[in-house]
Amino acid sequence: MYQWLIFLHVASAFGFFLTHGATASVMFKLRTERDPERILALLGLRDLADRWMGLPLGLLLISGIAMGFLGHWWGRGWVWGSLGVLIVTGLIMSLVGRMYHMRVWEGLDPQGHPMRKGMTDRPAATSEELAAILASGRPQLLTGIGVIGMAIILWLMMFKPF
Amino acid sequence: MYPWLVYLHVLGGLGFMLSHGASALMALQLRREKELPRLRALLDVSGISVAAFFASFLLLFLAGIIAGFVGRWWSQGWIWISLGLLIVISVIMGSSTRAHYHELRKVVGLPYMAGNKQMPALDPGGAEQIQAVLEAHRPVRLALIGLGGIGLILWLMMFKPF
Repeated sequence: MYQWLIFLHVASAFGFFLTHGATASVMFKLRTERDPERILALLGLRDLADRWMGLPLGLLLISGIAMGFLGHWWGRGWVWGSLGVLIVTGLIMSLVGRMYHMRVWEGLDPQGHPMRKGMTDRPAATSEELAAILASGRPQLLTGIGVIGMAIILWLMMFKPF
Repeated sequence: MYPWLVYLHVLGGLGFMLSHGASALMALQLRREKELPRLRALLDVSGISVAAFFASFLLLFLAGIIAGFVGRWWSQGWIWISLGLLIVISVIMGSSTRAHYHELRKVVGLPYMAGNKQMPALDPGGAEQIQAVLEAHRPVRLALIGLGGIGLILWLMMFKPF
């Protein structure tokens, strides 16, 4: 049972990174885009990834928590450390990344965002404002934080140092 | 030494999935798009992570091969089957997607490859021609082959059944 949970945990991590890769690539690409049609296509790809990301992330969390109980790991520091790094990394990436995509959506098509239809009467951004919004993305910073966070979590889980 | 090699192997696997995400989801999203600028934007985004894709694949592959020697696994069947599966999946996915995307890039008016030669963009084809090329591809079937194969390799590596 425990071995199958590890299998599920690793497989769902792979699934999570696969879907997350699309959002990361979109963020890199958006910075140099100026054509609204192309930007909307990229935002559509990002939304597809966002819809699929919940399933592997949920499985990753559930299998990880279940293993914590089955393996009696909750008394050890590394499991809390891993969870803490995951939460901090997730919060930073969500705040910076999600807000960026929301700003791009709102700049381009304030009424068009699937989750905010009809919730604003703000006009679309001018092309200069949109260029400034697009250039405000920090994909390198987020990728760095994400990769380092992932490497630390993996090290904690594999080496269980404390 | 051996746990560090496994660590690098898993890190390479996660990086590989992350860098492959844009291409994988782009393949699913392409059939929902009809407009030329949007199709072109999606085709362009997959090229963003090519360097990371090959770097992470190299890390995954080299760490796996070396771990096989350090752990003395080469006399067991599971490692050979895993390697064989990795090669077969890579060949299937590479051969069926490469020709398709070169053809698609050609009909939507983007620079494309003919053999090993980079070709300049041509005038885009008509809507029916583009639709025919899009419909000739089976991204869901390929995704199932890829994900199923990775799941099988992961099972072989974790359970080492023979």
